[in-house]
Amino acid sequence: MSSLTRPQIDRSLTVGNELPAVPEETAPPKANLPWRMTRSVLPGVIALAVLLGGWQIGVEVSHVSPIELVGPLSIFQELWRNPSLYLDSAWVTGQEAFWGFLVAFVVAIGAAIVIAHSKIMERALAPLVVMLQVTPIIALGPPLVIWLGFGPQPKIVLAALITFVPLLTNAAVGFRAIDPSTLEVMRSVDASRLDVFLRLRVPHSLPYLLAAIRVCVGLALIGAVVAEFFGSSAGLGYVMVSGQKSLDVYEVWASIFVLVFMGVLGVSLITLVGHRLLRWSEPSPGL
Amino acid sequence: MSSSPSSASAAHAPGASSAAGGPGIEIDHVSKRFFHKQMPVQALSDVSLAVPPGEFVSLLGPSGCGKSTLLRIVGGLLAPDAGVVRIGDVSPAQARAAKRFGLVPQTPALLPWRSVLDNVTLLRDIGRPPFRRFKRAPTDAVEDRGVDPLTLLEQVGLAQFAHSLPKELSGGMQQRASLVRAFVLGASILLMDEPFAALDEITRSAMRYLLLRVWEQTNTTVVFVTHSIAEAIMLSDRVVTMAGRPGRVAAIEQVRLPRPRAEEMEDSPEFAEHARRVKASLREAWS
Repeated sequence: MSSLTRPQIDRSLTVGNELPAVPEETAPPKANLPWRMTRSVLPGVIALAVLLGGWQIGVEVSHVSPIELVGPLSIFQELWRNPSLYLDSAWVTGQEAFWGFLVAFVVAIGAAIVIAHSKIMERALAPLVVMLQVTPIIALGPPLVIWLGFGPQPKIVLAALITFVPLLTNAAVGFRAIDPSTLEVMRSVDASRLDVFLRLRVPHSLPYLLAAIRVCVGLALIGAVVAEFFGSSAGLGYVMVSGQKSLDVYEVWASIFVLVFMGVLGVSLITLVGHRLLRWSEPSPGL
Repeated sequence: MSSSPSSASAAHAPGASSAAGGPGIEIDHVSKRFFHKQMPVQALSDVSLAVPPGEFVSLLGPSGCGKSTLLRIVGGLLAPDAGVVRIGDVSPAQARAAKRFGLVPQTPALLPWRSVLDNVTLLRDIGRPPFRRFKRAPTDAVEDRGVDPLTLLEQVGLAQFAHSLPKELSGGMQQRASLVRAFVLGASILLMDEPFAALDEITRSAMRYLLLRVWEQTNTTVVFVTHSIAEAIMLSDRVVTMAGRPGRVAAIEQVRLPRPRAEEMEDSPEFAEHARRVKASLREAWS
């Protein structure tokens, strides 16, 4: 009569003939790694080659002046001629964008935690968030440069301002839009707010946060480069402005290529991390 | 059915409940009112019900009769406007803090990022340091009274899916995992809110007897909310029919079918007689 004796295993009790949602047999046999890599990357490479090739041919046959449009080949030549200029500039701009993003991330997560737990704070902060959302953040560039000078500070602030709202809104939704039944199950054993936060809200917010972070890669670069336009002595934005002044279109275009590459690199890293973290998520995060 | 749960079934025979060790439930003149679009809705009006330890009792009625509200008040998730609920000699809030309740909601409410095994141990882990890797909690009372999760998973036919993610399971399998989660806790009172309502009829019928087989090895008290007459009769010692607007107890049917219950009993004249009386009481309550 002992309570909760270890149950004896009895096959007749199980509902064993029910099929799982995804039978293992449906998984395709794994091809070898090089082939799988090729298959996933090749279409993109071909599309890119078609774009650049078409561009180059268009420039060749139309005989436009280099001032109007340069072909990708001469842009790559420019990058090849002066790699240290672009590497150093990319390093400066990349750091500004990264630190700006990081500041925004920390503040946004803090604000989202407050909003997720307090209706009053949500009502207090909502108008400010909307204001920030509708402000053309780039217009804050000139006053920021006047205020903070020509160093990295105005770039970091601008990158932070421009990435803040997407991070905040996604984090707040991720923290709050949890399944009410799951919350109730946790409450039924008197789970603390911290328990609910760490075990339910944080993991639940990860897909939302990663989606926001992907968007923020491009936004942070915009913030940093635009702030460099308004006053700087280094960085890709600085190279572009000086190229514009001396009508060196190759410099301008090479900087744009480097920015694109940085963005692609950033998004690829996020995607890689996302795939590792969000294996449980359904549907799995796409491009 | 090769195991012999005769001793366990004796504990669940009506009248033998005093032999069971767990607490019973005392619902004493409970009322609850909600506001819907500023209009008061009387969800429960002066409900009294005593559930002796070890009894399986069903709350039966159509949607909106307050049965889920009553379940939440018993579980300490809602406070009544008037009246008291006692769990043994403590309040629902105290019972909740002592992890006396195992809640099984209508949806499986599993955490998609946790494996099945990690999901069924979730409630046990709550209240412990979240990062067990750094700090191992000493075995506490909850662990002692709980059941080995792997044994239970084996019994409900989920052993081979212990390390699968919830999304790899069918709806019925997820709900079995949800059942196991409640039993793993070793809770003395199970609160089930239409746990099988979202399942297809065939799976649903199988789940009924699966639940009974697992429950018969424990001496838990069960409050089972359902709108299925057959489910209520086949599972319960007593079927409480509820009337709505305001929600109140309309009739109580003592089920005389012997335990362990078997599917064949659904064809017996005794079952038909119970069903006839329950239907009559429902008709009367809702006319």
